[in-house]
Amino acid sequence: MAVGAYSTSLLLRGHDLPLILVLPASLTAAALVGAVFGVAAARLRGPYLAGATLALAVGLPQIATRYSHVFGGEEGLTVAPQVAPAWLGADFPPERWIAWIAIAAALITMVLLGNLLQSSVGRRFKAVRDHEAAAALAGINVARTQVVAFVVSAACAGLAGSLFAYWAGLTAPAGFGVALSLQLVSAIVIGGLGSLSGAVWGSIVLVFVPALTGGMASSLNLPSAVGNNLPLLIYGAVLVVAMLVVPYGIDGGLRRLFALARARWAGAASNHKGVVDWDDPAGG
Amino acid sequence: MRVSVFKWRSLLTPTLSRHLGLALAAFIVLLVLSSQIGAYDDYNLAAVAIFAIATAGLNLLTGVNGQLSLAR
Repeated sequence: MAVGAYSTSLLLRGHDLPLILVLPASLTAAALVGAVFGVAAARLRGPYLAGATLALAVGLPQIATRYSHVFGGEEGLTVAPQVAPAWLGADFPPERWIAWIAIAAALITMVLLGNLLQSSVGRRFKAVRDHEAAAALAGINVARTQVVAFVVSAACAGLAGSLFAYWAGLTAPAGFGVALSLQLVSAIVIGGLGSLSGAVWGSIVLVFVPALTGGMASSLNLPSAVGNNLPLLIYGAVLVVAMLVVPYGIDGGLRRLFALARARWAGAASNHKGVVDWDDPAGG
Repeated sequence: MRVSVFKWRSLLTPTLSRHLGLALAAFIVLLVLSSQIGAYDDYNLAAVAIFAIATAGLNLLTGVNGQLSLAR
C-alpha cells in the first residue's frame, strides 16, 4: 500500500493528472516492486517469509524519512482531494465521490480476482498451497505460481494504497507501519481465509469496530488513558471471540450456518430432523 | 507455450456473467446506500472499499496461495 500511495502522491505533486491515469500507474509501480520482492519471497517459507516481509514493512517507510526531499519525510506528502464532477451537482459531498470511486474500484477488483480464482491460475494457487511437491509433480511451476500470486497481491495493495492517498489526503510513513499490515492480516483472519467475501467482512470489521467503539469511548467521558485504549481493547476482544466462535472467520461461520439451516430445512421436509439415520438411509 | 485468448463467448458462461451481475447489483445497492447516509459514513464506506481491495489481494496470497506477507 505504501508504494501505491507514494506513487500517487509523487505523480500528483506539481502535476494535475486525472485519477484514471494515476490509479493504474500506482498499481503498476506496486506490482513491479511486488515482482522483484516476489522472486526473493518464492524461495522463502513460513516464518522466514514472514520475517523478510516484516523487514520490508519496517524498512520501506524509513526510505521516505531518509530521502525526505523527495518523499516529504515524517510530515509526508499531501494529496489534493478529488472534486466531484459538475454534473452531480454543486453540493455533492467529496466524501461520497471518493466512496463511489473506491466502491467501483473494489467491485472491479473483486470481479477480476473472482474470475482468476475460478480459472486454472486459481487452481494452481490452491495446489501450491496444499502441497508444493505434489503440485510440482503435477507439472506446476511452483516458484512462478508464487511470484504471480505475489504480483497480483501487490497490485491490489498498490491500488488500495493509491485510493488511500486520495481518501486520507496525506501520505506519511506513520500511516504505513507494521501495524497496518498486521491489521490487514487480522482482518482476513476474522473475515475468513481464502475467500473474497471474507476479505469484505474483514474490512467491515476493521473499519466499523474502531469507528463505533471510538464514538462510544468518547461519549462515556472516561479518563483519556482508558478512553484512548478502549477501541484497541475491544478490537482485541473481537479478534479473540471471533477465533473462539468462528475459527474459519465470519465467512466460514456464515457458510456453516447456511449449511446447517439447509440441512434442518431439508430434514423438516422429509421429517428427518436434519440427521441422517445411517442404519436406515432410505428413510424407513 | 499455450496462449489464452479472451473469448467473447465466455461472457455467456455462468461464472463470468454471475460475477458481473453480482458486482453490478452490489454497485447499484451501494450507490443508493451511499446517497442516503451522511458524509462521515461515506468516509467510512470508502475506507471499507479501500481495505477490501487490500485484504482481497492479501487473502489471495495468504489464504489461497499460502504465502504470508507483512509488507503492505
